[in-house]
Amino acid sequence: MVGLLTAAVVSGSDALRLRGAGIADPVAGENADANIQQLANSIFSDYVFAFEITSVLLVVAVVGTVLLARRRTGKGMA
Amino acid sequence: MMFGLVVVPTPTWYLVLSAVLFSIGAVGVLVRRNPLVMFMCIELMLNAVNLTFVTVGRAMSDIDGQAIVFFVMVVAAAEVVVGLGIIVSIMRRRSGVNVDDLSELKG
Repeated sequence: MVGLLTAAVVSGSDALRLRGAGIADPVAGENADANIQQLANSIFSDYVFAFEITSVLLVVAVVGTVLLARRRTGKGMA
Repeated sequence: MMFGLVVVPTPTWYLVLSAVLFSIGAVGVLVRRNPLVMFMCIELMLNAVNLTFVTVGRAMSDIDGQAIVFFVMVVAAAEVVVGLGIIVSIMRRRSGVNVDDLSELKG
């Protein structure tokens, strides 16, 4: 596993050095947004469907946990 | 700096740190038998992957590396919530929690 991780780190660094050199810095443009604004644009436009799906996932997780961990007391409760 | 030496961290440093964190998490999951410690090690592995995403996204000047970290965090939170619920319901009917003792569901 250590060998695999070392190979992954070395290959990832090489790939970044080869490919990342030619890409311009997005902050350097004239109408460049700040980091948080770029992130908000990305999440709420490109990934808005995934964002909605995560809300459904959180609701399902909370409901399931309450059903699992609720103390079963009294009658009339499942 | 102390010796007038300015050290600029490169993405390789972050990748190495992420690999070290992932190794600690993987070894912890394989070695420890307490489910709470195993959950913490799973979180350690997830956050090592998050660090890799942010590092590569920063080096490639792409914001998607940081956008996906949000989704990874949400999935990790849901997973921990469900896992802790299962652990609580197991603790109710058993004395202690040891993962090796939970063999009723062997397939």
